[in-house]
Amino acid sequence: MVFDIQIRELTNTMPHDESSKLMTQEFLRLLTKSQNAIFSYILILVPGKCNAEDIYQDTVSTLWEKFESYQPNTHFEVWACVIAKYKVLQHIRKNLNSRMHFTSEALELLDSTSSEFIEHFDDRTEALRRCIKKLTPHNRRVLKMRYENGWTVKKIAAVFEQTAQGVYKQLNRIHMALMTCIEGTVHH
Amino acid sequence: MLNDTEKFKLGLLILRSIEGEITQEEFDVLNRLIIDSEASRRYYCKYISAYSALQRTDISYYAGDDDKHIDYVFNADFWQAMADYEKSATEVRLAPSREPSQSVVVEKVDYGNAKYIHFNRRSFYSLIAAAAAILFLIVFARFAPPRSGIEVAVLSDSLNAKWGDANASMPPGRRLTTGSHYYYLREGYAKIGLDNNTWITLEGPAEFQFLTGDAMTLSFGKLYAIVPPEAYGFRVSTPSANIIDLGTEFGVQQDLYGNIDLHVIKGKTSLVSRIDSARLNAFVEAGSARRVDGSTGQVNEVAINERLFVRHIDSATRSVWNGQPLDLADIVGGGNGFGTGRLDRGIDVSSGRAIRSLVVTDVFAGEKGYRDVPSSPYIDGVFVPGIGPGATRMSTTGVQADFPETSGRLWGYIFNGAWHQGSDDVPRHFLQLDGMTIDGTQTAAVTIHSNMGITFDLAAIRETLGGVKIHAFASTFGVSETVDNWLGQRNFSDLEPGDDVQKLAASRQASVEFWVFLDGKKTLRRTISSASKAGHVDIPIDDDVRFLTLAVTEADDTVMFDWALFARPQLVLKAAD
Repeated sequence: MVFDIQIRELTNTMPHDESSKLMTQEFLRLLTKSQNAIFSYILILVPGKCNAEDIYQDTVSTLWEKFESYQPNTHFEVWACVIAKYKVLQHIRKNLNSRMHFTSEALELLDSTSSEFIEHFDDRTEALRRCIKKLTPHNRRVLKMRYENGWTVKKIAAVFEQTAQGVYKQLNRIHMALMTCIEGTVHH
Repeated sequence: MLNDTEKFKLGLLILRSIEGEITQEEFDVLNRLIIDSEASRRYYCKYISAYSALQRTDISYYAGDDDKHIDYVFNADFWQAMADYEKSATEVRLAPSREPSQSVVVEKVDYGNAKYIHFNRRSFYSLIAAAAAILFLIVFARFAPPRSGIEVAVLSDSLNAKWGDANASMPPGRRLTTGSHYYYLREGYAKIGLDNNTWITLEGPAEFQFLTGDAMTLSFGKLYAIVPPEAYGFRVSTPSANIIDLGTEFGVQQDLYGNIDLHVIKGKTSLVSRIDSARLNAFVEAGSARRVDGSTGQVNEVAINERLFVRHIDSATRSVWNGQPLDLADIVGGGNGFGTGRLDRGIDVSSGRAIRSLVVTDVFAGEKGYRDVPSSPYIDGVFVPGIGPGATRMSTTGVQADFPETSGRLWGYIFNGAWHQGSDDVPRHFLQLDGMTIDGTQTAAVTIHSNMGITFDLAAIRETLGGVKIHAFASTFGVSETVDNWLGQRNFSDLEPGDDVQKLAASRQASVEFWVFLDGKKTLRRTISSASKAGHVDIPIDDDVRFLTLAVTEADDTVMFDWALFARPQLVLKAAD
């Protein structure tokens, strides 16, 4: 997963004197706790998982560079998402030729809507895990192929001898079922 | 608030956007929805955060333990709306479409010359009663009047199944009950899991009924049962006899004329006559079979047929498993391991592409590096072993192993079949091992000339097998004896007199080294020549092994005449416990 590789690479470049070590440990602790929420925020603003991963890597490097300016005991992910948003806008400016990015109006609306989901990301993740158990074995298998094994939609389509569109529809149905379950679990 | 149809359409847009597959037009629609609709915006954010969480979740860890599957939360209106939507939705194809798959060939039930006629039950049993008594050994039959309406089993899966009118709605997940009513599978296959952990696979036409949680009747049809130790004593009653499990896997075929075939694959059963005038019983053990003639009552021992019964089905992969092994030669030929591949088809080691004939007719220099094979989900990749110092990479995940340094020179490609492709001085011909001609049809084979290797992705194969496990890899391997027909008179004066050439010229036998690895761990290394007997390998494979690698290297006598092959390269399968 991109997150684990990122953390390993960062760790290799960090200084090893005592106070730096403490700062490093604190940074890694905060990052590990928030990385999913930060990535989720970026993916909300930027279409395409590959673009989001690139921006995420860039964001983490900047977070480390600027960590001294982070106020302890404040919300790390809120601070991190401010930097992430800046990186998103930078990415959009660099790729203005591509029209595959949200308009400013859409970006602002998404930014404000996303905060509720980022704040409760851990609760929703816990609910997701309980909901996965309720899937049929077949649908769990499809999810495993896609998200755990990292198979492309094309490869899954080849295995089940379906079209890619068929696999997308299947994945979408599974997502919908999970989200309905998550909402029920979280509100309960 | 979005309705289910709107959520479905929006979800598809979001998923394709995340995957980078969305068109500009679709993206503009998504952008518009996000601006115009707060509900769409909120749904979009929820969807993305669920997607992100899935990326970091160990899905295998969360095996299901809840009977209340959430997959059926949607109501009938939603599914109708989806059906209507899917009819009009634009099809997206990333690759040329393939023909709809055919189910794996399964032997058809042979009910003799008579055509199937659907009797009513009363006249059917009268016919049996009027027929000659059928005689068996051992009495154990106890018949407890069933309590009706008790749920005792679940329809786990079905494939091409059509049910009788009374059972028209039979979706997977449907609970099955005891009682006087019969379940009638008109055609196709059904897999049923009983609450006592017994698994039943039925092939239609078949009629059956549950008496209790561990007893059922089979009026006619074919049934295969896998009975675990805790379900010892599980009973199948037919019009003529009872079959009682004593810790087994067995298949029962009952036709309309009272004839019964019982084939015991594992363990032991007893047969008990249902005709009081002739109380006979028999133990029937693994590897044996009995046939009872419904008109004469004669009991004959018959040859066991381990492929007669369907043991497992998987509707997701449309596979039907009769206990046959998975053929790796078929996979090399572009198939799924069960006969959908083609002879002559194989993989070019230099590029990883699927090809059907020689690209280069001479010996050529291979290149270091591992090539993935996009054309097959079951082949992880191919490689040339032993080029230069250092380990050779053998998988897309970086698994490596050490080989002795080779010349790195190759000839041909890895293919499904066993023949010499033909060259200037050797005509095209079938290869031979231990005096037997290997034609690729009667005997499957993968030809791998020296200095080539191939890695199979067992995880991908397991995904298509459903509840069937990989038990072992088995194969015969060797260098074709036909080498002797041409090597004997080969003139080596046109070659540089290196040690390897001199050795070949002196011995007039071509030698190669055969290798087998599991996840990069060497399990076989054997040197075989064209003059020696073929080797045999039978290696157990654990459930967590991902990669099986086969490789051939040149030994120390050049790559010339290294016509090496794996004959009957198979994955031995068994039903999951």
